[in-house]
Amino acid sequence: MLQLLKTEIKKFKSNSTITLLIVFFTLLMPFVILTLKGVFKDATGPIKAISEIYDLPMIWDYQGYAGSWLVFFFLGFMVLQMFTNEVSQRTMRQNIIFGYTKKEFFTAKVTVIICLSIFATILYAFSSAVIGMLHTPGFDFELLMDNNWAILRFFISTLGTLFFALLVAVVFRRGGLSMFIYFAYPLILEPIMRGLVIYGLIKSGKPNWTLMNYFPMNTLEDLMTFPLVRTSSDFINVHENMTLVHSYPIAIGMGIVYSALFLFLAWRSFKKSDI
Amino acid sequence: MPVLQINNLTKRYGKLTALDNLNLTIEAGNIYGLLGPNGSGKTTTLGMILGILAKTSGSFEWFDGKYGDKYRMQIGAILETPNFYPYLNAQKNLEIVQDIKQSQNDDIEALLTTVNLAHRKGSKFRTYSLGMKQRLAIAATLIGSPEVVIFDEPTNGLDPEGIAEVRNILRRVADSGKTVIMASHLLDEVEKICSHVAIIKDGHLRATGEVGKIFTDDTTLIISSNNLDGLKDMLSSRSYINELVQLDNQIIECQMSSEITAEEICRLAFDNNIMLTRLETRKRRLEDDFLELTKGNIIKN
Repeated sequence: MLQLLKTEIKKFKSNSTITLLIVFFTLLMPFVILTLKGVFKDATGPIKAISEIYDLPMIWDYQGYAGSWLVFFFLGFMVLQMFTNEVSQRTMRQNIIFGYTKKEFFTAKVTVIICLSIFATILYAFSSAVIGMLHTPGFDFELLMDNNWAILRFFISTLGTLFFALLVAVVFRRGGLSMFIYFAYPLILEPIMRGLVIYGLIKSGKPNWTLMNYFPMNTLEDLMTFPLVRTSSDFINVHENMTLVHSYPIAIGMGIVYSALFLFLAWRSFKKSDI
Repeated sequence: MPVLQINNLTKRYGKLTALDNLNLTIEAGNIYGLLGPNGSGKTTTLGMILGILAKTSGSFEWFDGKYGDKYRMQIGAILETPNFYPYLNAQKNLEIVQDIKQSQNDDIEALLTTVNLAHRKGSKFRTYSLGMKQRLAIAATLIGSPEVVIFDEPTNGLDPEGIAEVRNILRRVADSGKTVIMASHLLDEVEKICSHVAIIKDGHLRATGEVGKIFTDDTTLIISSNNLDGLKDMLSSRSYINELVQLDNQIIECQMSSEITAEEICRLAFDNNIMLTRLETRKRRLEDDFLELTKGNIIKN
C-alpha cells in the first residue's frame, strides 16, 4: 500500500493543477474563517456576539463548516482530476498493461483519498485548536476537548465527500461531465429530489420531514452543519416535533454507511468496466 | 515451450463479432506477427490476452500458468499509441513503470540509450515527436526484463526515418532472445522482422505458421512454344513445378520453386528439342499471398 502511495505521489508531483489545488487548500483551510474577522471589527450588539465564532467550542463547528466546503471544492476537484486524467490520457489502461491489477490501481486511488482525508483532518484540528486557544478568554484543556466528536465528524465528512467524487469519476469517466455531476448533484439535483419527495409525502397526507435528512449529501452535510441551522433545528424540534438535521450519532453512523456505499459502488463499476 | 496458448478466444460487441474462435500457440523465442488489415481483430486479441478487454468466451494461458495472476509482470506491452504522463519526463515516466513492475534493477539510462532517447530524458513527454514517443514506449516495455514483449503497430504514423529506427530497435530486442508479438497491417514489416505469422481477417484466423512457409517465394513463369503439348509434358514431370495452367492455345503459366532458374528451363527445352517462343519470369509478390489469404476463405496451417 505504501508503494502504491509512493507511485501515486510520483504521478502528481509535477502536475501543476493538482499541486495548486493542494497548496490553495492548505493555505485557505486555517485562514479562510479569519478573513471574516475584519467584518466584525467594529460590530456592536448581536453582530458582536457572532464574532464569538472564534471562541472554543464554537470554532470547531464554524471552522468545520467552512473546511467541509473547501474539501468539496478543492480536494473533491483534485480527486476528479486524479481519476479522469488517467482515463483521458489513457495512462490507466497503460498502468494495467504494465502490470497493475484493477484492484491495485483502484487501491492506489483509495489510498490517496484516505491520506488526503487524514491530512485535511489534521489541518482542521490544528487550525481550529490554535484559533480557539488564541481567542477564548480563560482557556483550559477541558474546553478544548468539548467539541462533540468534531474531529471524527470532519474526517467522515471529508472521506464521504471524496469517495463520492471517486464514484462520480469512475462512473462518468470524462472530466467535464464528471465535474458537472459532482457539483450539480449536491447543489441542485439532490435538493430538487428532496423537495419532490417531501412534496409527494405531503400530498399523500403523510408528511415526513425527517426523511429528507437521509439523502446522501444531506447526511454528509449534517456532519458539519452550519451551527445556526442546528440551533434552528433544535428550536423547531421542540415546537413542531420535527428536525432539520440528524443528531450527531446518527449523522456519524449514516456518514460511515454512505462512505462505504460510495466506495463499494465505485469499485463495482470499475471492476465491471473495460479499461 | 509455449509462452501463450489461446483456445477458441471470442469477443463480441453486441451483434458484432470482433474475434471468432481464435486458436493460436506462440512458442518461446519466436517473433510472432499478427498480420491483418485495419479492423481485423488484432488489437482486440492483444487487449484480451493482456487482460484489459473482457473476453466473451474461450481461454488463454500465459507461460503454462507458471506465474498465476502476476503473468503481466513478465510481459512488456504497448497497445496502439504510447500513453504516458504528459507532464513528466522520460526518466520519471520510466520510474513509474518500474514501480508498477516492482522492478528496481533496471538501468533507465541504458534503456534510454538503447532507444536513442538519452539526450532527451529530461524533456516532458508532451514535447516529444511521435517517433520519440514510440521509442520511449519500447524502452518502457523492456523494464523488468520481461520474457515477452508486445508491440501494436509500432511504426504507425512514423516517417521513413522513424520507421527504420524503430525497426532497428525491434530487431535488437528480438535478437536479445525475447519472445516478441507484434501486430501490424504492414506485410513488409512482418516479413522483415517476424519469424512466424498469424493472418487475421474479420476476426477469423486465415493462416498461421512460419513466415517462409506462409508466404511462398515461388516464381511465375509465362512460357509459350509451337510445341505446347511437348512443353507441357516436359514441365509436368518436373518436381520443381508446383502448378501448371494453360492460359490459351499458346501460353502456359506455371509456378516454380526457387530451386530452378529461367535459364535452366530454357536449356531443358533446348535439350528436349522444344523451341520456346516466349519465356517470361514474374516473381510472385508477398502481397499476392497476403491478399489471397485475406480475401478468400483459404486456411493455411
